[in-house]
Amino acid sequence: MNWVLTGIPLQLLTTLALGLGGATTLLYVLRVRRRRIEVPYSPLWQAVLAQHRANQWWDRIKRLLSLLLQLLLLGLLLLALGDPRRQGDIDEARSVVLLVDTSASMMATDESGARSRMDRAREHALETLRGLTPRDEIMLVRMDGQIQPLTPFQREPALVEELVRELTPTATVANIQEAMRFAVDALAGRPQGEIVLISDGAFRPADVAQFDVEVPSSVTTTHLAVGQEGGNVGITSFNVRRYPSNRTNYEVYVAVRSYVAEPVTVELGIYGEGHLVDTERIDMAPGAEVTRIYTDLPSAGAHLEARIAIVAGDATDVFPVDDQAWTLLPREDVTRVLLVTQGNLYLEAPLLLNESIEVTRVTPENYGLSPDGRDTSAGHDITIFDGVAPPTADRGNFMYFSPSGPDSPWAVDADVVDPIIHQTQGSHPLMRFIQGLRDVNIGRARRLQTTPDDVVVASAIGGSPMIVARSDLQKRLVAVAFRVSDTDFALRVAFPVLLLNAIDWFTGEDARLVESFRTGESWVVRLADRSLQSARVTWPSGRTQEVPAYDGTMVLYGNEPGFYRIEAGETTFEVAGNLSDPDESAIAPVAPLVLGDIAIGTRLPDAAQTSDYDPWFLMVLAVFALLVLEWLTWNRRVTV
Amino acid sequence: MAALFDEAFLKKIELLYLVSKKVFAGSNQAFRRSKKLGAGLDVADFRPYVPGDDLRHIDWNYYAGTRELLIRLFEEEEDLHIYFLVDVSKSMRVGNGAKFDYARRLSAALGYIGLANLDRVSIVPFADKPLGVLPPSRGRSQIWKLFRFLEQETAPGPTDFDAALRAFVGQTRRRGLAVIISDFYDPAGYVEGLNYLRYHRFDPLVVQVFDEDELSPRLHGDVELVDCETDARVLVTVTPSLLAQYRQAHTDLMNRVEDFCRQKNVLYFRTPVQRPFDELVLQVFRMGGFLR
Repeated sequence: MNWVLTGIPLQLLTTLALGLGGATTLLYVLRVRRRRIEVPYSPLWQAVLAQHRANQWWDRIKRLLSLLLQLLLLGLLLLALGDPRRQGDIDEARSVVLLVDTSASMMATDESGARSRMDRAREHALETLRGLTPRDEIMLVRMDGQIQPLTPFQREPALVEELVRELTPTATVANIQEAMRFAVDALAGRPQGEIVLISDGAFRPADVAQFDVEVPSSVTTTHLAVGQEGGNVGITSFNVRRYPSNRTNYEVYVAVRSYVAEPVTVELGIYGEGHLVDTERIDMAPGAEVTRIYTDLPSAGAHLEARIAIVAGDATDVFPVDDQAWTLLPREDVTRVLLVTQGNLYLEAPLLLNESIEVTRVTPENYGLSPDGRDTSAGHDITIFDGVAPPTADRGNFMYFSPSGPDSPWAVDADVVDPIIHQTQGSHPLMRFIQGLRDVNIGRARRLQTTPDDVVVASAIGGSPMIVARSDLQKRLVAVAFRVSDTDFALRVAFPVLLLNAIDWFTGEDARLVESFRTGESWVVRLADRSLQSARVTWPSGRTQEVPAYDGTMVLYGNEPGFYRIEAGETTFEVAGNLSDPDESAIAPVAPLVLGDIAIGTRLPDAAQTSDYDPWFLMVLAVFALLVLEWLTWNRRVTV
Repeated sequence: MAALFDEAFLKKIELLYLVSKKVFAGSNQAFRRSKKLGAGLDVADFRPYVPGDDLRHIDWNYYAGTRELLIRLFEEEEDLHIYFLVDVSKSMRVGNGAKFDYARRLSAALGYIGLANLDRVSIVPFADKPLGVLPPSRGRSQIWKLFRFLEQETAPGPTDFDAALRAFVGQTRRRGLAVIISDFYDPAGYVEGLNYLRYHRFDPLVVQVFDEDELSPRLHGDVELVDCETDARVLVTVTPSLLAQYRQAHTDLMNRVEDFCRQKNVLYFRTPVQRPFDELVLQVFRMGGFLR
């Protein structure tokens, strides 16, 4: 095995060795001036010396040994400065991406001693760091809902160790696909690439099955498995919604799933503002999912919480994150609707019947600037045009019935007589609770010219669009190609439902009317004031964050379950975040790990490389040991 | 008062004197009788009359009974002379001068007791010769004179026992007790000097002082030893074994002095300077050589 010097060059070392070695020898030849000590009677010493001369050869040898020891110490120190390495160590320097899973399942406490998987993962990571050679480079990457490199490639494991100790899991789902893609990209162009994945392997089955990252053959992949077989029963869904028809009432939906192999009894409790409002014991078969819908909960306040616990059965729940879920009763805001019409009772009636809608009616002539000088178009959430299409503001929510004219957002080239609605897009929020519009009799409709930005929600035979939606950052538009008075649509149940769906769509309430979000996703939170530049968010853990806002919308990446308090200008409201992911609640560890077609080599922690000390360090240790030996022998008068 | 003879020292020697009076009461008088026959009051012996004898000393009672003339011999009462020969050579002062101080304190303590017993006490410091003399004094009041003399700084020199003791004998007319306080570090030896004293009817009493630090010096490594008297140099690499040998050689030296004194019936005391001097004084009392 060849050795090379990676520290001070050999030439300089040789010069230093000659100089310092020569100086040391010279000092020994010259000797140090002896200490002069006055004694009362020297003949005694002379007599003793006369007896002692027989042993003088040993003194000379000791002196020579002392010189040799000094030269040895000098040589070792110089060699340490040279930082000698085996040639192989330099050639085989690795680039290691240390991928540490910090997803929610890592909070499971199924490791020995009731430790969490994250604790074990940190140990694995530290062992890996200690197994690195000084030439190896390492990058620490945390992997949960987001991929976050914590360090660049570097050779100082001590710096990484601190970050490893600070790793904490989040209530998110690991994105193994993106993490591996990132690791492969980071290792591109680096020799001896290695990906060390520290994880329980509990990824989304879809991510594993559809794994399509191409790992080069030059990159070694290693999986350090964590986690034991631990049971879990979790809340996989918890939502509350107001009834579209009666927003003063609401219903709560809870889904609980068992991931244990034995039958268990689970106690499910619903809490309102921290007080228990309903509890139920549920017997669950292995792997079963149970759903509950509470429609008649007493008034419980806006903050709702669900908790579960296993109360009977042999299984234990080692994953506490999904044993609690939070949600908020959606806000019951009043929507201000401006109806621009010459008078249309059919159109006006469904709006007036809804208590959460405040309707203002103006004639087309008074739309805009009224005779008394007021701007009648301002201050409304939604404007509905009945058969007219006047100029509008640059931003807002507008619904048109039979639009036409130069200011219509849709060009109209002709009318369609007796169109029959043939296709509807049931998944669109406008069509929620509407089973189809085939039997609506329409006498006449406009033929709207759509653009690529339009979504045709309903179309007639022949492709003529009947209901069209358009959305951009400034505006949301809905066009109904016919007037209500030209059809019998107003007599059907679908008509008021369509109006309410449109209002919900305009005001940002999605089809589920849910105000709880799933952790690990980017949440789009709408703010009442569109002019706000930012909002202050207080996380469940108590930390605060200033989040930028644009056009009344704020995007927040939440990874903590619980209530988030949002202060946006004058208003303050809350949203809830939950893990609510059946895949992440399935915490059973997977090892050996196979991602797509790639088998990830599993390495048991005990098989990890033992740490090699640097040769220079061993040399300094040797110097220290020799000094200690010298001191001890001197102290015991062996070498004096 | 100098630190050498302070109040505490005075109290201590006064106590020693009281102890000597109590312990040895009955065997000591306020003064000593010499062995010399002379004009005293007490009859010591008789001898036949020869012409020329003082007729007043004829024992007429004896003549009346026997018709023989006997002359009465009287004990001559004479003061005892005590000479303190104190070694003040350089070897006694090496280091912190502990041996020198010890010798002076010891001579002062014994001298006080001598003065208090109405003996004639004289101090003779010496090195290679006597370096002055405190003339014989008597009485307790002379102690201050003795102290002042001992406190005087004398120029130290090398030790020469023979020369110093010969000179002492030559300049001292009255015989008496010669208390020699020294470390006996003399390359030429001490035998002739002590014998010279003995031959001239002095009663020697030897006190050999040494320092424990001299016996076990704290030396290690390469050192150059310089003799404080002769300036002789010895290059030594001090090792534990060498130190052990030195210690043995030192002990042998002291043993040789002791053996010589025992053979010549000379009272011998050996003391380290670390030992309190009053202990040594009591030991001297017990041995009986000083108080008679």
